[in-house]
Amino acid sequence: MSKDQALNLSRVSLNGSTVSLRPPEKIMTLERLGGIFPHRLSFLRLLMRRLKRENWQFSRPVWRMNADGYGIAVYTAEGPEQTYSLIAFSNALDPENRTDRVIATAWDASFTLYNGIPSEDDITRLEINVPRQEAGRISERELVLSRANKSVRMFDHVVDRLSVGLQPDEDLVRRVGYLFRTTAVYGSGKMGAADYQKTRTYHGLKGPFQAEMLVVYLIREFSLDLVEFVAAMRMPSKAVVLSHAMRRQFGVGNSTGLGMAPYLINHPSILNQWVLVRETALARVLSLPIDHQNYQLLAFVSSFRQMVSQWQTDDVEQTSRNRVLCDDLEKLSVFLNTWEFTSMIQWNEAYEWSECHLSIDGQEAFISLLIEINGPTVDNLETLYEVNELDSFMINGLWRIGDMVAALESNYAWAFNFNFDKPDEMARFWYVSEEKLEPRLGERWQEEGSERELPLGIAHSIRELHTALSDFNTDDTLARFLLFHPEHRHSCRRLQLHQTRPYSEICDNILSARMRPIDLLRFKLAFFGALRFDPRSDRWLRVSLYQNAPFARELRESDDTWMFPTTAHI
Amino acid sequence: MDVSNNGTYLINLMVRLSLNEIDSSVKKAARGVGMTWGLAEEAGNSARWLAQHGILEISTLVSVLSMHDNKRDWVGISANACLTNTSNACLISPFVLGSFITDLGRDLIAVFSQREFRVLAPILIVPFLSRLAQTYELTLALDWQFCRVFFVGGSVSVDGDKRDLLISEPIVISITVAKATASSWPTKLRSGMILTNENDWIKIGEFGYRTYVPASSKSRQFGAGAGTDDND
Repeated sequence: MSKDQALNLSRVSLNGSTVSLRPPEKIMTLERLGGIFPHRLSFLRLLMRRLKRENWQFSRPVWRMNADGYGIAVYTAEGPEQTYSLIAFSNALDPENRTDRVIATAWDASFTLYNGIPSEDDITRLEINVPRQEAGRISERELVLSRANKSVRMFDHVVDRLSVGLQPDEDLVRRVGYLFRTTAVYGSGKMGAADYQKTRTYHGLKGPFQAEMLVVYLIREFSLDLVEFVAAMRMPSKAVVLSHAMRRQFGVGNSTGLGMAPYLINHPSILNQWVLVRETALARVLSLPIDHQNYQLLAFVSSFRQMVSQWQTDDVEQTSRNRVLCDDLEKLSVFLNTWEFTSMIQWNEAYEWSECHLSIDGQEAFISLLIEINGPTVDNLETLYEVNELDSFMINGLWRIGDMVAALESNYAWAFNFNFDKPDEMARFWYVSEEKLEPRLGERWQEEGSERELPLGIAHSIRELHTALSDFNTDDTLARFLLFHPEHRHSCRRLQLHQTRPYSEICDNILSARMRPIDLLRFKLAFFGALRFDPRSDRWLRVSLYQNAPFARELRESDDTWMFPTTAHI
Repeated sequence: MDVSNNGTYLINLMVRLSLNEIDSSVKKAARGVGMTWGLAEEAGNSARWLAQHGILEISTLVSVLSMHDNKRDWVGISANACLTNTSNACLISPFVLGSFITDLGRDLIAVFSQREFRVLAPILIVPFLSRLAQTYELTLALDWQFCRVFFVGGSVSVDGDKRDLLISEPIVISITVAKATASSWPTKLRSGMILTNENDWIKIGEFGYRTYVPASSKSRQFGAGAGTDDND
């Protein structure tokens, strides 16, 4: 994207009205990012719309399971130009070995997404490697590698009930919300899989994380087929299948920890596009005139409130936030019901009201709902997600040092808000654990290893760059500066990239003692389309994806309003 | 491929590496031998480019990274040699020179005119010049011994045989403006590479392993914050 394009995107005009995009320093804080909810431009929503629009066909050509539900299944998704297959391996797992952590070596089920329809030779090859996950190798015919653990309590309960002809307990289903919980969904060349550079050229997989979203969607199908199969095998004469409404309530769980957090900082161009898409969508919506009550919005506010009131978590802070959010949605409902609609007003005025009266969670939930009711206005923004990171890799070394200092002071003013002489502002360091081979968070003043720190403390490194630049001749070139200061090469690349990508930095101190990693995780998961945030500590959480989504066989008749379902949909 | 707890790679024959694996492993290895994160990113990106063009020799990377490992001030020495006119005698890191080349942009020829550099493994300069020529639509030639690599905008061509192209010894290079006479190459970009020498890749892994932090009682105490029981 050129600088001109970036500047054009800073304001959005529709119907003669102009609304500015929210400034990065306002929304790129951890507090704000950690309050974002999924929206109709979340990645799984893009996938669902494409599957329906292009009339994808689904089948299950292989189902070789024993009565306990252990064996192999293959699901195919056939698009207009390409077919992909989920190959699922289900096996018995000792409860002692069931862990969501990266140190696990066995899982209840493992999966891969294959490009095409696998032969028996392919299945044999993958049966050796896929259940081993990181310890195995896959080929460039495979696009994604994943694994999942059962919610044993839920799975066993559903089998018990279905096998005797009963539906599962609604309260329990509502509380847990899934049968399987993925603990990793690897794409982009991991363990030998095809690189994103290649898969982005495949039909249907061009958008962000589309192959991964397809895998999770098919895992949901698999999990429900499996539980019904095991129930039927137990008591063939009595067993029933899940009712339609009950089936819809099952999503796929996901357990996410620190490993996911550095992604947002390591991929600034991608982060920028994600936020730019959502903010542009918001600005478009806010510039729309409203001259009548929008009953669909009211219905979504009500259904979202009902959903939130049903979410359960042991986390005290999240429980409190959920309660405040429910109150906010109630306030919003009252406001919308009593607001005087005239031809003179825009949604922007309603948004301004929300900024004064609702919590950050409440404001961001309102934004998701406003975007939700304006599909025709925002849906074409999905093409903006496309980004080639290599476009921003090269450094322009002809910049003068004086220009670098000016750009830094202008675009990174927020980095000067932190006093890095205070121990608390430098309390943490990110590193890759030798034991776990995953990113971890260390306590700088209590643990060894900070000399091997990952370059994620951007505010701090930018401040160090500022000091070094200030000691250099202002008329000298950046190329010359970098010869003498290669330690700042990483920061200089980011600084130049930021010139045309205003949302590429998280405007906060990632090294601070008060930093909550789950804010980063929640932001990313919201863009995936996950809901039911259930923090298990400040470093990992569980979520649910595709809850209430139509199943493959229902796609053709489904509408696109499933994420905030009114009673008519469940 | 496994990575065991003591960092030893257990490699199966005919392992295919994806471009992302090459990029991230080489980046980590470069950092592991003391290069800064910014230069390490350049090393990873170059390795990806070479693999994509079917000319990545892991042994060449190991030679250069080993030199960085054994001579921790090589980055600084190389930087000075890039700026002085008496650089012929001083061996320069291809990653330092390559980064400087791309940083110079259109000024490259003005700065480098009439100059020669003594570089270890000149093939590692090629990705940098390719990126530069493509970005600024330049026509350039990189010469050493019996080999000449042409860059015309986004395309690259070679005049010389593969042995000379992949030489991993110290060699004198020059960069000039020149029009291509050889045929364009390669015709098709690769999506990864088959590993032919596991020992070289093991070495890359060992360098990268140095970026990891060993577990301690403190790190286990603070941990990842995960629960102890995931049966629910």
